[in-house]
Amino acid sequence: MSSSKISLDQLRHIAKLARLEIKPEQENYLAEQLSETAAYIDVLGELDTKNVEPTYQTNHLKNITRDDVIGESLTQSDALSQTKDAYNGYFKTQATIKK
Amino acid sequence: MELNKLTLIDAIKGIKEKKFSSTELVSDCLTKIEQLEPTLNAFVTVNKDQALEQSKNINFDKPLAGIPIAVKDNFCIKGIRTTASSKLLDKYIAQYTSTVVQKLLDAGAIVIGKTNMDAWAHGSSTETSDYGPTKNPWNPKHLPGGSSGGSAASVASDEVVTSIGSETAGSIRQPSAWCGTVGLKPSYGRVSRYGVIAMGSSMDCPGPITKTVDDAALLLSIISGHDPKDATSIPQDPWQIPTGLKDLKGIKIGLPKAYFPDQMKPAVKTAVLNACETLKKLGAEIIELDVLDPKYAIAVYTVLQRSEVSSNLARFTGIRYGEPRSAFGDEAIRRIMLGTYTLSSGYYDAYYLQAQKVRTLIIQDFDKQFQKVDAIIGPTSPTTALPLGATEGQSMFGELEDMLVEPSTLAGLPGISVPCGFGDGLPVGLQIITPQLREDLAVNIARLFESNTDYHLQHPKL
Repeated sequence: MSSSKISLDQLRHIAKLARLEIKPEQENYLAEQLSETAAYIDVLGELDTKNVEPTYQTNHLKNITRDDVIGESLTQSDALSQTKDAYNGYFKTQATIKK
Repeated sequence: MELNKLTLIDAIKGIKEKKFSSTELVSDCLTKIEQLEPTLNAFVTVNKDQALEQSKNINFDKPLAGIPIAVKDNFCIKGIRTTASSKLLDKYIAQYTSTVVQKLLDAGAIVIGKTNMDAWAHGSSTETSDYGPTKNPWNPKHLPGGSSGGSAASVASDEVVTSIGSETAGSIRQPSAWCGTVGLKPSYGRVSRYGVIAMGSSMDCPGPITKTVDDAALLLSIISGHDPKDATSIPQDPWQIPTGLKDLKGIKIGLPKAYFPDQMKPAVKTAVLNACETLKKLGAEIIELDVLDPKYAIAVYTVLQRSEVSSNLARFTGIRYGEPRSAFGDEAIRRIMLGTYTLSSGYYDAYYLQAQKVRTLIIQDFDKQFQKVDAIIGPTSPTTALPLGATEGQSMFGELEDMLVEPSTLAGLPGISVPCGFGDGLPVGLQIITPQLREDLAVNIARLFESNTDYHLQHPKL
């Protein structure tokens, strides 16, 4: 089982993956709290699970799809009603590719 | 007359028999809400004008004709503010209606307001709400539990006749235990998750929080049933209210020794052991069980819940709705961060995959126990309601408070919490867990227990 102590470098990496900005003054406290939780979940390593299948969902329904027919959906104006930044009927997002 | 004090069943009867009108019932609830909200803070939004308007036009043929109902603020209702008690969604007006609420509306119910909760349902106290904590009606210096704390407090204080909550692990049962209400958590997939702001998708489960077992059974019969909009919805007709049992003769009830941990409050233990005596008098055989240590369920739940949270909350970018991610509160940040960690490269196998395997072991353990007994009982929570501020700095608060409901949650089992006593003036809850899709048995045991005790008839003095 992995070591449960979460370093500040790890914390910053996780924050980047999660798109969260952590204020510098919160970093130590948060790393401590996460380490505390990570230490708790280390007990999972105590059990032998060599021949055990994982359970992702308890009623075991799988690959549930609907028929490929057009049904009711949100109108464009409903879909855009909650955004602060719409343009010509689209959501405006930040550019992902720099010019 | 204080019609708000009625049970759901009696309120339905009164309206149908024209003893009073829906408008009178709604008005009495609104009066009580206005009187108590400065103390309790059980609601994020009250739909006063809309509810009164709707109460004037009732179709008496419908099963919930004119019944006002409080709904947890993580259920989307088209045109109504839905915040999940997070400032990130402070101004969010839902664009569609959740299946559960649609079913309630189709049955004639009126949504009187949206109840307070732990922000994003992350917690067991309602103290992490961005709109301030809800207080426990039995003692406003104490917490109501959570995350459906607003729903439980609104019912316990008679602000409303009935309510809807949701549970991922304990969020219906634990606040019910702490507030002295009945909380019914259905089997996973029995009730549609469509339109409920997602928390832990492999466990989330809407359900009723009510004044009596019969009220809870009636609501489950209305909100359950297959929903094509939820891929994990069980393809079955709505649940049918079972015919009651005369007694519990021939029924074996398991009592896991591990459900009485060292930190348990003595009054809780006493109340639950007294409840065993009541069940024995009704004819049940009580059998002690050796079950898998709940510490493993806590660890599995912690990993799976955080992982699913980090994925579910990734969609809140502030682009299509809501505020930017900087609006997440501390608890959401903690959970997203841990979940991102347990799903990240190098840690996935040790944490996420291992947790899903241990989840299988927990399910196998329940299967083994249910070969010996028909149902399992225990305390819903190891303590009675804790004082305000108890969650401060406690990264594992919810998990330790919910340790006795997390195993059954992970296995997708139904459970019900019913009032079974008091400790220092605060309610104690008894939980009854049954095999998957056996809500009928949980409800029947709970009904008999309720009709042979009077804890549910006691009211907080506010």
